[in-house]
Amino acid sequence: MLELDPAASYLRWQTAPGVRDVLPEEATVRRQLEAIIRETLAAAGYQEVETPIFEYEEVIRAGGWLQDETGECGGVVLTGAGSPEVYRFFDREGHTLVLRPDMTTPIARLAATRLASAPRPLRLAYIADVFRYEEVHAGRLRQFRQAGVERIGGAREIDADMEILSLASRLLARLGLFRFRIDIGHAELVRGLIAAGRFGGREARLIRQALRRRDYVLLRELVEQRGEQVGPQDRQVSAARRLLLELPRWRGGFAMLEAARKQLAFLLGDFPQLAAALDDLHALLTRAKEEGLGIYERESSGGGPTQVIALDLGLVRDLGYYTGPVLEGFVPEVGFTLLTGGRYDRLLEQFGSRPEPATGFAIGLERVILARERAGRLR
Amino acid sequence: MLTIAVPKGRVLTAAVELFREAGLTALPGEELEESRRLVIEDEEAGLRLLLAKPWDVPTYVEYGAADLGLAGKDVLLERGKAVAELLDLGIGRCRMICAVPADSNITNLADARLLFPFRVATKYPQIAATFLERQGIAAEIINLHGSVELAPLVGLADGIIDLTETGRTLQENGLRIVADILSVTTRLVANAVLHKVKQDEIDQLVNRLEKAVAARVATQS
Repeated sequence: MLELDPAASYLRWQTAPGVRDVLPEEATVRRQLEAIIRETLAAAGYQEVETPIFEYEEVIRAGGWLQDETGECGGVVLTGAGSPEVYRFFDREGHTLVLRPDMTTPIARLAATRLASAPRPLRLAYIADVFRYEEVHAGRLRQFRQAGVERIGGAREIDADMEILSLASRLLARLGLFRFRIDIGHAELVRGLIAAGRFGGREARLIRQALRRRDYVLLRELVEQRGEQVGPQDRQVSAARRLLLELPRWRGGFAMLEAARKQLAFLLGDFPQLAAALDDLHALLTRAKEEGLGIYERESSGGGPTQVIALDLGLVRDLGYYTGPVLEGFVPEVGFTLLTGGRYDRLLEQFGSRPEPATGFAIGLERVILARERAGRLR
Repeated sequence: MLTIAVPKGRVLTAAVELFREAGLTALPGEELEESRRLVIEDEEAGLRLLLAKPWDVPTYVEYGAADLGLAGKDVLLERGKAVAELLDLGIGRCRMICAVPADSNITNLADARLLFPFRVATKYPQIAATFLERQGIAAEIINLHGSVELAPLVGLADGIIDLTETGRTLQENGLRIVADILSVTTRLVANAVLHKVKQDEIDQLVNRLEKAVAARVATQS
């Protein structure tokens, strides 16, 4: 029988669920990786900032968090597993405060307020702990460390998107994750196709949510059963709905993008945002190729990804403020996303600023460490 | 090679049968159910099956220990794991219901709003709590691991939230359905990243299963 000493101090004094201590050996690894990250981001001209670990609730809410998002299944409304909860508390004056669930929101607040008159583009970097009060997921506790950049205001959009994409790939490689793949989607492509399928309001939100959670069974249910009835004269609407169901399968490179453009051709006149989104993706892929990044083509897919950029047209990021290309980076060794990001031109105005283009990405430090260990073991 | 986490039990036999119809394997389903092995390889088909507890399938898939998994919608909703849901396989069909003793004063769910609290025994505390909250019912959730029907019989609970296929177990234990919560089927789920890494292999499998499922629906109607 294993005997427990009831007086043992480790039984009496435990850490709260979802948080943990970092011991010297791991702390050393973390500091080394952070040094690489700092150096890489600084070399690209991104200046590090810090923000408070808690904010007023309304700031976090303006960042798209805490929205009453619910999912549906078989006619029953259920709270979505994908809508993250936050840590909330009160100060003595009765203000509701929230531990920051990401860094994009505080930095957007900063850029729209104290840095409102600073020269653009703003290039800001951070390495900071963020907090989510949710079930512990693979490779992520309730407190976890994110490193990332935000590029706010300034030059032509595609240049900014490319800057972020190329910095993201450089960073992954510098961190020793040589076999990475970064998938690119486009927020307006998904929005446009949902509009073309004549879905609005609640249905549109649910469809986006189904795509974000990659719940393709729910997607089918919503698209086939929840749209308003359309007559035979609305061939365009039913065709758009069929394409919406195909969206998750549109993954690949230039060849796939051309095929997608052909399939979408009948919609491009009425929904110019679709054409603009396809142009964005084509330009980004072209620039990525020029910069020497590999482009994923399905036909030649042998042996999995090694430093490649791919398109995933069904990619939807969790927060509603994304407006352009969105990113998701991973390595084959681990089953979860290491890097996320994208363009969010609508966020700054939430903080009373003039509308400003903005884009950025974040990586999860703990997940990077796990991926490095896994990759090392498998090599 | 694709690794699929499959639940031990009845669903396994039904799933293997569907996989055979889709021309994906020649494995005999019934024998697998008897077997004590936890990993079964079908090298010819390029499949490796991990025989797991139904509740654990989403975990194997979320962490990438398996590329794919077969899980009931009930388990997926309750566990809330971040996995991609690729296909409704149409097997393991049942309903999640709320039931009370036949002689209970509660004739429909609205009556339960008058109770403080409505005590519900269930294997699905998350789903039950969310569902009842949204019905405006003050509920006390009693989490059990099986034979949930027993709880109202011995006064442990006012009602249950559980799965039923034919309603027979409910009837035999003197329980009456007051609400249909959702219809449950087995889903093919995938790890979000491995779905991309092995997309050609997985898309092919999904296409064939989709056809097999459609063929079944066609013969039924």
